[in-house]
Amino acid sequence: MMDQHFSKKLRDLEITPSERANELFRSRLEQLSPQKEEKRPGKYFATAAAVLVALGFLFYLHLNENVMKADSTAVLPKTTDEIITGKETATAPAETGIQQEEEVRETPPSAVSSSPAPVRIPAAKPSPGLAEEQNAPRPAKKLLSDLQSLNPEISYRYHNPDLTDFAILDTHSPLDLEIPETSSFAEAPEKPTPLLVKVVREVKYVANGDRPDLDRAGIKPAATTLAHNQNGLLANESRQIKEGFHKFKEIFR
Amino acid sequence: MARILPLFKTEHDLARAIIRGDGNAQRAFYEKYSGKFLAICCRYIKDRMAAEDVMVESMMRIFEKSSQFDFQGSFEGWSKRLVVNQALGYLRSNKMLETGIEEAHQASGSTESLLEAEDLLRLIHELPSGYRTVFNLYAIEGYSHAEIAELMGISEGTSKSQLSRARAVLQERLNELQLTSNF
Repeated sequence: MMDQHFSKKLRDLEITPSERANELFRSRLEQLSPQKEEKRPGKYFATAAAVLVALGFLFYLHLNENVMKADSTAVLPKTTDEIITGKETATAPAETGIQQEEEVRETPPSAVSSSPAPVRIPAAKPSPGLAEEQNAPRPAKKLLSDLQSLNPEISYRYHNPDLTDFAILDTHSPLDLEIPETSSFAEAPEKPTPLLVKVVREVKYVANGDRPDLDRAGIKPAATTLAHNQNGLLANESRQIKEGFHKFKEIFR
Repeated sequence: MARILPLFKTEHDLARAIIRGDGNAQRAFYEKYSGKFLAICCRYIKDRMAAEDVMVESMMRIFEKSSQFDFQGSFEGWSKRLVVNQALGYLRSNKMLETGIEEAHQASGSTESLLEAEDLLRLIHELPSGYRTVFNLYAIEGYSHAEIAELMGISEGTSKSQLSRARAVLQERLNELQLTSNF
């Protein structure tokens, strides 16, 4: 009976804490809060790691973009070069135009360097857009015809579809050639056609019913040259990532 | 502080927030339960300032151990047990949990009604520490003698005898006060 009386009266009793107790609680709570934060340092590490990964990815993209820009001026791989024999096409560039010049074949690099007689293949079907190029100025034509008049066996290949850049293969009979300093070959700077122009041109070809050609559009060569750096080494993706990582480390060092 | 309380619709919502370490929830919990917990502490500890210190320490202990709450019962009930344990720990550390037979303190004369809670609390405070603790645990908190024996590190027999003596002293004091009030 007495127990119940005490229990009933005291069980729900409340005593208001003094201001001193409230102040003590506040100070203890402030002490407790930093400890809670220290218990979860992983959250901050995870955030920092995420930021670093994002920065690294952006840096990699930036680096890759620079590599593409640098490689866009690189020499085209020989596997995609067009080889034209001088004997058959001595008169072709100057007289019959591109339709006859396009007697080309794709040869592997070993064939280019060792095979003395490149095999010719029939010319591709001329595209309507290529006819426009007949009227375009070709500073190399005159020089080539001069060279072929000196040596009918000479062969050469073009580096680009504009026929402004070419290389003497000279695989048939060595001949000392004197190239005049004032020739258009010497004066012609390496002026790569912008990718955009090539693509627009290719679109025109396709619109006229021609078959799409990535090489001609300059897309495939760009992709091929992307795999080579200035030293001609294979610059695969993993190495680019590694280089990017090292540069990234240097920046943050 | 009162604006924070409605954010926690149920007691378990409040408990979850406390487990997360939410400072607002901790302050809200203090606002809501500090009065009750201080009353518990005051039943065990005569000194008011010491009782307040124990209450604040109990709050901190509740926050630290809140992750152990299993949401099976009331969070308030779980917290009260922690408060009682904290109070017992204080008594133990100050060697005030001895259960020897002690003389009850003489009560200061009081003519107030015995039905008032504060008077009952005063009577409890007049009990020797061992009697008071066993009486609080058994009569008000509802612990069994076995639990009291485990909490206080005594035998069940000792717990029973302490309770019996506490009741006798309280009854005696109640009678005295009754007589005093009649005069």
